[in-house]
Amino acid sequence: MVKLRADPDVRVMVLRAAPGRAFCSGVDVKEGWRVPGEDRTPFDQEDPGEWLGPKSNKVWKPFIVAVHGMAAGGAFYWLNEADIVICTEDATFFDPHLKFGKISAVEPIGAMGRIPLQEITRMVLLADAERIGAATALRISLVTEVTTHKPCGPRAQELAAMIATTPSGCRAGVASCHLGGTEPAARAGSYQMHCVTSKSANRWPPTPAPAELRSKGWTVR
Amino acid sequence: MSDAADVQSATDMNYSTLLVEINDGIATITLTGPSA
Repeated sequence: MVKLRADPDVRVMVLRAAPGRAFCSGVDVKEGWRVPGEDRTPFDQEDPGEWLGPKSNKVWKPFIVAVHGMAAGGAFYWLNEADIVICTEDATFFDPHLKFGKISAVEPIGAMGRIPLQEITRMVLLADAERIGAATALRISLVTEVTTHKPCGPRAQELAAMIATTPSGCRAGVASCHLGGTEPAARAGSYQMHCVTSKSANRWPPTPAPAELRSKGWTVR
Repeated sequence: MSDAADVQSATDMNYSTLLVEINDGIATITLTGPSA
């Protein structure tokens, strides 16, 4: 993610999974994610998924996630930091942590403000006894579109191509949306005012998209 | 342009490979599945 942040050729990011039953099934509970023999106290451990999401790494380029099949547990590292999530009709979303006696924390906390609280608590408490299907995911705004095409990577590419036509200043929009939902309003607002008014920002005004990427029209959904 | 990046360390979530392709301003990241 950090490499993509600095790459001027990258205007939009799309995350998808290779064909198969799952987009992401989370950590293998038998294998775990710690180095064998490692015995750190809980206070000395770092989040193993901290490097996965763009927002956690201050990457403010638009991030589209295209889900097919199962999206469980750790998948929410990406879902919670996506600007647009779409899925196929066979997609299912769930958080199995409690089934294994694990604490569910990153997933529900990151989902707050994105989907209704009661949908989060239901997902957490029912673990993998109930999975959120595509239609429900659309209803609760976990996704914004269910595609009839499988895989949905091509549709994600279409959306990305539309976004790639915008000037680079859209990164400020991504930051605004994310910080506005995760930071206290005053802090988020002051950050954005800093971006708008600072000399640094003025030295790097929004760069127009290359002519070949410019918008060729609009669609209705 | 395309690139393949290995996971960062043994303590990270166990994706064996993340394929990254960059075309027309779009970086497409493909999860290839957990390592065996």
